[in-house]
Amino acid sequence: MKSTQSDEVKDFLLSRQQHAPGNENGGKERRREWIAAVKRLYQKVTDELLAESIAQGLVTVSRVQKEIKEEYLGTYRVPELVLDIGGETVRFSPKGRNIIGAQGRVDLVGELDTITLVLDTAEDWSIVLARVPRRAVALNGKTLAEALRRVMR
Amino acid sequence: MPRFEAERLQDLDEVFRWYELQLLLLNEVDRQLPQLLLGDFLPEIYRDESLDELRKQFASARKHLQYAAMLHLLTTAEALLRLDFEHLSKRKTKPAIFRRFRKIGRERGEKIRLEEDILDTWIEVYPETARSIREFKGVVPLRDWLAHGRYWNPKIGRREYEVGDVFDIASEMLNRMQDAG
Repeated sequence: MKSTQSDEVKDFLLSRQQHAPGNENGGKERRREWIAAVKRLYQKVTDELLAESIAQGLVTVSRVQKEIKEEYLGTYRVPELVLDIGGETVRFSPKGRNIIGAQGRVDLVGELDTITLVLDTAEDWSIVLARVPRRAVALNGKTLAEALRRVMR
Repeated sequence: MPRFEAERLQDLDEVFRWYELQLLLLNEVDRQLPQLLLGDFLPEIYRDESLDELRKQFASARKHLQYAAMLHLLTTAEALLRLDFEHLSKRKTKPAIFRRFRKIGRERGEKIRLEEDILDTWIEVYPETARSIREFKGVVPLRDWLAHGRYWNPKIGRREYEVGDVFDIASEMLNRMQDAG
């Protein structure tokens, strides 16, 4: 039987289906990539940026699970990276994948302040040091130290 | 004594800078508390307090600063939306929304509703603004919660919002609106 349904209607319904909460395929893949990116961030922090301090016992590292609920991605669990620095706790706490202008966001939460880290590409994280005017810098040892100074006592 | 008059020029950036300055000052003193306590440099009313008690007060001050800043940002964003409504219903700067706003303005007079009359009309006329407006609508109940005493659990879009989130969401929406059409 010849279809009488217009292409516009088909396109519209297809796009709705792709964005529907029930459609897990696209969401699962994005979720998997996002969680992998968060784990790579933690690896960079623990194995590279803070490796010496961790080895010297100046920083103690642990992980706790956090549950996040996001549109299109559903509810998922992702680790928080918890640093104990001289008795003061600082957490890398994932906020989500659905972020305007970035591919994901993790907050660095200290006792005095919170700083945002954004995922620019699959591997590159930036620290948002100021919002007005916006100043985001690549995550490295120097910028991480600046961020820690801001959020800690 | 401050004069209470209509402020026609509102600025989200200015509010956020105010918040950052307050937080910076608060945190600087928080960091210096042990030395201030030892050196007897604290104001008289705080001299009998322990370091722990002072830190609890500073933590509470940060929480209230965050509440105040979020409310300030949300009410400023609302003022910007309402001023924009007023402007767009009188001038054909954005012709597609001009007629709709002019009609709503004639029908509702001074009782323009933020969500139904302004935000929903933006979404209908400029669908490209929908995502950012939906994000903002998720945070609007926070304004009511903050303005009316926080005695109930607000139904907000996300589980938690930081001051920076509120600023980002409101700024993004206003930018999208400016670019629309």
